[in-house]
Amino acid sequence: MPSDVENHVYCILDQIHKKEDLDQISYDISVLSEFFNYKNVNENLNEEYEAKKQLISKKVNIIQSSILRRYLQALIESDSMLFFEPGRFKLFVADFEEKSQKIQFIDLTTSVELTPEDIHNLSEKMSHRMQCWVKVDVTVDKTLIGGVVIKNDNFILDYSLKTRLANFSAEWKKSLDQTREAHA
Amino acid sequence: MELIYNILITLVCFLSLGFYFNRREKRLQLIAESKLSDFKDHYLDNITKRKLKERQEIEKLKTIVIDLETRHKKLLTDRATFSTKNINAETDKIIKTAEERGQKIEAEMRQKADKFLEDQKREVQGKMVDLVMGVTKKILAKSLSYNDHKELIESAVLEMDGEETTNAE
Repeated sequence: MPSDVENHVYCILDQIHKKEDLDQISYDISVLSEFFNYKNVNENLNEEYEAKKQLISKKVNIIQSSILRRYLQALIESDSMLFFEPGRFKLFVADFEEKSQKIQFIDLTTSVELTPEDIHNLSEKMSHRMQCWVKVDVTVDKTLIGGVVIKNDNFILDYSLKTRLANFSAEWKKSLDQTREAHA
Repeated sequence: MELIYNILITLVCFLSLGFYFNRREKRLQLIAESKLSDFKDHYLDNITKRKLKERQEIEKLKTIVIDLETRHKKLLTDRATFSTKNINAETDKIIKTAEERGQKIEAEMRQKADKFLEDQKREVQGKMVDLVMGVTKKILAKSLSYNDHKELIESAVLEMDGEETTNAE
């Protein structure tokens, strides 16, 4: 059963589909963690609840990542201020870092737009096979005809029908040339 | 007496008239003779000039005739040396060269034609392949359903696992 902090981490990570988003969120969280420490809390100890809320809200509003900003704003609006307690936030940061390191981003280029459900299923299957948390980012390119181009950090696998047909065409032409040479 | 005077005056007049006409006739005769001699001289001069010119023409014609005779003699001697045998050999040589050249040109043309045919064949076959591929692409794009696409993607993901392992190795 995941803890409250873990739930927050999963909720944020679920919304991330691109590595750039994760990098931006990691950066924003590190900036926030500098603010939500005991030193700052002690300095603002005498401030009232609303004033603290406003201060946190002000900090959250300058976050660049829209995913994290929206999520934290929702927490502030729902008065879940416990999340911003230094101890809890530190746990959140540690958990987020740990889980985000296990994420692998894969870009898929397909010829049709996949439904969110299918994307999720694909992500699940890939996670199961690769034994890590796979995040799939799907881009549509109709010129591929069919199939998929899979792009990971260090490799690109082209399973598109466009490439397969191009290869087949090249092979066909090559075999024609070889036949001609044999006849000659 | 008077009559005698009249007769004498008339006689004197007749005599003077006769003298006058006689002298005039003589003068006219002299003029005519001088003109005649002038014409004669001029005519003779012309004749001399013409004769000289004719002589020169005759000399020219003589040289031309001599030249022609020498050429004719030379031609006759050449014909004697240039025998029928030589003509036949020369003709054979020319025909042989022409035949060789013809064969060479024919071989070159045949080679070019073969190459052209080969190129055309290659081009047609290449275009045929492109055409077939183009039609295949269009048909595939139209005939694949969403589920087919999904299956293709899923099979690719399955293949990826193997590929990735191979790459890692």
